[in-house]
Amino acid sequence: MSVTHERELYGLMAEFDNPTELVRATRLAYLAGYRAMDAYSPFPIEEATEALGVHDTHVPLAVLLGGCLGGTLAFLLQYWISVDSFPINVAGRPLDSWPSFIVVTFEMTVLGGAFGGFFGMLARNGFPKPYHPVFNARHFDRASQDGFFLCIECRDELFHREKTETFLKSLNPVTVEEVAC
Amino acid sequence: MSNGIKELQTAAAWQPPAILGGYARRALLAGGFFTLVTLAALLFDRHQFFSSYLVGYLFCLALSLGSLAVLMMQYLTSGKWGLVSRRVLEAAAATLPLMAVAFIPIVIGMPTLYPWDRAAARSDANIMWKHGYLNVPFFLMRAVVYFAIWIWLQYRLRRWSALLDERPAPELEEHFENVSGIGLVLYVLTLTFASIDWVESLYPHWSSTMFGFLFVAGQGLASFAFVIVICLLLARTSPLGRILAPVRFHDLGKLLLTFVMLWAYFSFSQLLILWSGDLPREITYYLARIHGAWKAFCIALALAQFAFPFAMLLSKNLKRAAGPLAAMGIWILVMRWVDLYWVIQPGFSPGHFQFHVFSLSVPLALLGFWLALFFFYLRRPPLLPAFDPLLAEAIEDAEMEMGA
Repeated sequence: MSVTHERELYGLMAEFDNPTELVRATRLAYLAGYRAMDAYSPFPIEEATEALGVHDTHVPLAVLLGGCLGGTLAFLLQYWISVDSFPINVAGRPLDSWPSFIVVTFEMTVLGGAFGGFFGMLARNGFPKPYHPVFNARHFDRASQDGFFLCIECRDELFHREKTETFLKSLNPVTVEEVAC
Repeated sequence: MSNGIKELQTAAAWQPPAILGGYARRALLAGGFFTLVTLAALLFDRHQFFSSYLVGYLFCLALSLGSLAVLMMQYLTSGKWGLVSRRVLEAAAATLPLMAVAFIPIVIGMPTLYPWDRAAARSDANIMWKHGYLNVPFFLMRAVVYFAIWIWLQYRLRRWSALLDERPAPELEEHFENVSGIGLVLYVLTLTFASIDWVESLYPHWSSTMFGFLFVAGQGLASFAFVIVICLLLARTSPLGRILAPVRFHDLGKLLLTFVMLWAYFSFSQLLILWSGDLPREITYYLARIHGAWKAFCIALALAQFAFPFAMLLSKNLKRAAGPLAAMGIWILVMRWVDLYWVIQPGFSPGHFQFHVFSLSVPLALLGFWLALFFFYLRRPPLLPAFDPLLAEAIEDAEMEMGA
């Protein structure tokens, strides 16, 4: 061990100059067999997501379920109000006139879908999370400005303090540093 | 930027494949065949010829004019999906001058098609008060104005676009945006009036404020479905095979889904407005279309032009797979025809379902000739504007994704 740690190691963080380098590095790391890793960038990079091997986030499923739930509840609520709870005769139309229910059903489907997406995303990301080790990296604030980071975490089976560092350095990074837990 | 990309930034790299000529010939043959069928059927009776012609004409016009609108849309939004589909859209829009010629049979058929152009209309006070708008000279004058605007727009955009095959022309970007911005406004206005003139006035007692927008959404939908089908054909051959990556089909698929929803939104809006009003002169339009055999069309439209494509296009995998996405495109194009048939035909056979050999042969003949013309135009220029600044990025995307 080159550095003595008072705290345990979370992983090794490499910083890259631009998104293309980050995607290339991520791809190579995936090919090398690393799985417990994450990429950090100021803006979403779809290719990086794919390179990380993140295929199924289940967020679309949450959106679908949220939408179906919202739409169904909205329709049933209106049906119950119009037919059962408070029937009003409007211009002699049947009480269960579905065309008039559609607008609210549509809006509630959208709302349910949006909730599904928003809360599903938060849940899948493990939020709320008041503390995350990656912020211990020195320049990590630049991940929301102009820095592109790849962090290989200790929990990966292939992780080896020296070998992983050598590997990351071979990917043409700006810096490689340790991230404490 | 690699040397490989520099090499691809020349017009020579994007010459259309010879196979397009074969497609044009086959389309021409199909058009000729269905013309013969139509002529043979004309010997026996002429009933339903003009209404079938109107359906076929509006179907082909949706491909031409919808493509013009999408062409302007992609100049305003400047996405890479627009870059790869631009020459397809241009070739489709280039057919507009001949679509103006193809309008002549409708002019000939006016007394058969439009009740306000018949002698009986003179005694109908409900039609006569609209006479200031619905009369033959003004109708023809408006048609000339619409075509003049559409033809000028496609001519202007295609001429500038051709310059990008020869040299980088960053100064054109602003021109493209200005013409497209004004052009889209003109498009919506002219199409609204054209749809009122050519279709809504088939039922001169009836009116709907949503009618123009239904055509706007329908044409956009038809155009995206068509572009996806053509992109699949082009992706199978060189040279576009190396740039039409799954991500581009994903873009087009998302836009197709948007237009599926837009069409459903406008269609339902019109139904809801007329249903809420429940006025005798308005609701008759739907009464003629939701009873009897037309009821099946009505349900089929809701399920097959909205529910089914909507559910399928939610899938990311389907949108990224060119083959299944193009199959969905063909499905939607068929539904566009069903939709136009359902809007137009019940007016000519109120109360009962009527199907004639013309209903298929006339639209198919028109579509055959239209496609032949389209492939003829698609064959001429390079398939990508070599000096467009987005080209390098689009090539990089494709190389990244397809591992070239």
